[in-house]
Amino acid sequence: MKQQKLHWLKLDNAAKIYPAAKRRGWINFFRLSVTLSEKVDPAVLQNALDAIHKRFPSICARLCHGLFWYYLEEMPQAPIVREEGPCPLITENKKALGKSAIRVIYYDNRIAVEYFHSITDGTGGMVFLKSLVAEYIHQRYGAIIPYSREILDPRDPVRKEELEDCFQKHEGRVGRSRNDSRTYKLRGTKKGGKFLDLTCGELDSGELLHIAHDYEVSVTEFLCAVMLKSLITHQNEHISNIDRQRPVKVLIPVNLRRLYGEETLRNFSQYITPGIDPRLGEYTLRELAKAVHHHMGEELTPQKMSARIKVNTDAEKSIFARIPPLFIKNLVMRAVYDSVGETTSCLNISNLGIVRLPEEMAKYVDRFDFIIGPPASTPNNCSVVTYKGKVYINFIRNIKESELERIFFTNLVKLGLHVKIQSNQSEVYI
Amino acid sequence: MAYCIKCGVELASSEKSCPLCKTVVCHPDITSGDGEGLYPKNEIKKEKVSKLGILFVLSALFLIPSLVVFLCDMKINSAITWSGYVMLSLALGYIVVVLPIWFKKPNPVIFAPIDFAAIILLLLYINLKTGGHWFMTLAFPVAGAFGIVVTTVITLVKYVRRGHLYIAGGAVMGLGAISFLCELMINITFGFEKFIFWSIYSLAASIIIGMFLIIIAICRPLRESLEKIFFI
Repeated sequence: MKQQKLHWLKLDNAAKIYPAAKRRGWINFFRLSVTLSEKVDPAVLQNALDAIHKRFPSICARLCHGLFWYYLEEMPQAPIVREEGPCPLITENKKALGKSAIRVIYYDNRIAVEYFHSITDGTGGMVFLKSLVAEYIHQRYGAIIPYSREILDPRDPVRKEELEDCFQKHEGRVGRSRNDSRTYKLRGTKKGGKFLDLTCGELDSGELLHIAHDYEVSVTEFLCAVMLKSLITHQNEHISNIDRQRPVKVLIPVNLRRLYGEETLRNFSQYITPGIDPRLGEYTLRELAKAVHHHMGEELTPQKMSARIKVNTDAEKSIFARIPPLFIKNLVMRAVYDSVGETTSCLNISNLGIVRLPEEMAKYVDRFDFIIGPPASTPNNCSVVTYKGKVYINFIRNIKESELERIFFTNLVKLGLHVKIQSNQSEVYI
Repeated sequence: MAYCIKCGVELASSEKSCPLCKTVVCHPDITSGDGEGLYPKNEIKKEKVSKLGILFVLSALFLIPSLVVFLCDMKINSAITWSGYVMLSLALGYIVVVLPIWFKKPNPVIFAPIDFAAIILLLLYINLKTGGHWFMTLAFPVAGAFGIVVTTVITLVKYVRRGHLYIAGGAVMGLGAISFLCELMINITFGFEKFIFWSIYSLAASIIIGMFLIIIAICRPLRESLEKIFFI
């Protein structure tokens, strides 16, 4: 029997930086997980993965390197599901990406998928997770789940638009450089090893939405404002001389699919970095919320996003970027990433928004979680997802100090919000 | 349900202390930390580094320059002239740095004399190539004596559990003796008139320091008071 030819794909524009920036002890992964109402059966999960993996050739993929660029190749077989470790997003060696750029993990009632960021972003990852869980529930309980744009039928052929690199399609006529200034850099005592501390805050989405509306902003903008306030407090605690302080900014990824009406399952997001300069004076939370709201409103337009895309695609198309062999590109791209990529914001707040499931599926699903790994040189990151009236805010860090989370969550408590905290830290500190 | 008294957040039943401020949970009606954790409590396996790969890279790093200088020398002089020094120096570097890595548990007691033997061979080669007459009277006795002192110290440190201060004292005095031997041999080899000059000072200093270390080793109260002052 003739073996079916495997799909291979060039990395999209946003994906190119991640393989170059990876290093021992750090690879840019993010994770989406779902908690079911019953214990996960690993055999059924493996069967479900086997059933759907051909439907997602750009996600069930491995990272290969050519002479000039990395590329993605569809995996001939689905990855093997594995049991959870003591913390999320454990960095494996770089060679593991050559076997599989995703990891499907189970623990107790939870199914998690960890994605190397070059294959997809949060939205694409969520489509894959929902489709996997739908197939799992179908095989485990016999439930008939209606397919949609967000839950794909594994029997359907792969559509061209799902594999499209939309950055090339939506680049603007002229580029617009960001010219972002350097920001306050969070620091702390490195923990060493691969263990990442996770702190999850659970809030009532209704309460949060109500208070965000009180401030006349969206939930993401409100959380960003609270984060900015927390960063200001954090900086004040560490740098008492106001003249030596730096601007505080938060990086908010923006899903461009909504803006351009695309359906790609690959990376298609840009980011906005609202922030303030604390040297200008004190800000109230309402002023911060207003600043974030106006910044988002001004930046989040198709025209400005296209101009930003243009800067990146131009860099990729330049003859000087294309001709050097991959190992030289890696050196240059990593140097650029280290000097520019992580210096223009203090941390991320990535909000995937509300996860909606069809009724047939929702009764089996209790919770969703979204976790993005800490960047290479910044110790913290924050990600948010909402499901069944609960907002799950996951803070991850690779340092010992939990000051930022403490300030952030206590700020929310002071605003009258009820916060429930869960973590993966087993030590008792006295 | 338990709440953190400092942060005001509710704590999941799996938390023994507040993850935000580390305050220990204290609730008379609840045993904290009994709930199901977010993640299993097993440990992360350490990533293995391919030793063979590292050895291959290191060997190539030594081999490639050797080949390059050899080819250049052959092309220019049609004989091994200056490249011999470079190749043997690289071979010495390889024996000192890379050779022990080939073994699972390299024993320094074996590798130290091997390293000194390699150094002596390199010096012999230089002596023969340059037509010098300093090998038997200077290089061999000084390098040999240094090798014996270093090997003795390594052997004692490895196999004698206690008495490291005695060993250190002896080692310092041994180094003083080598400096004395060194000057003596230089004078014999090159026929200098003045017999002993600078090495007398280093010998005296090393004997004083060595004796001081031995006194510290003998006198426990002195050792304890010094330990109290100089601990890192």
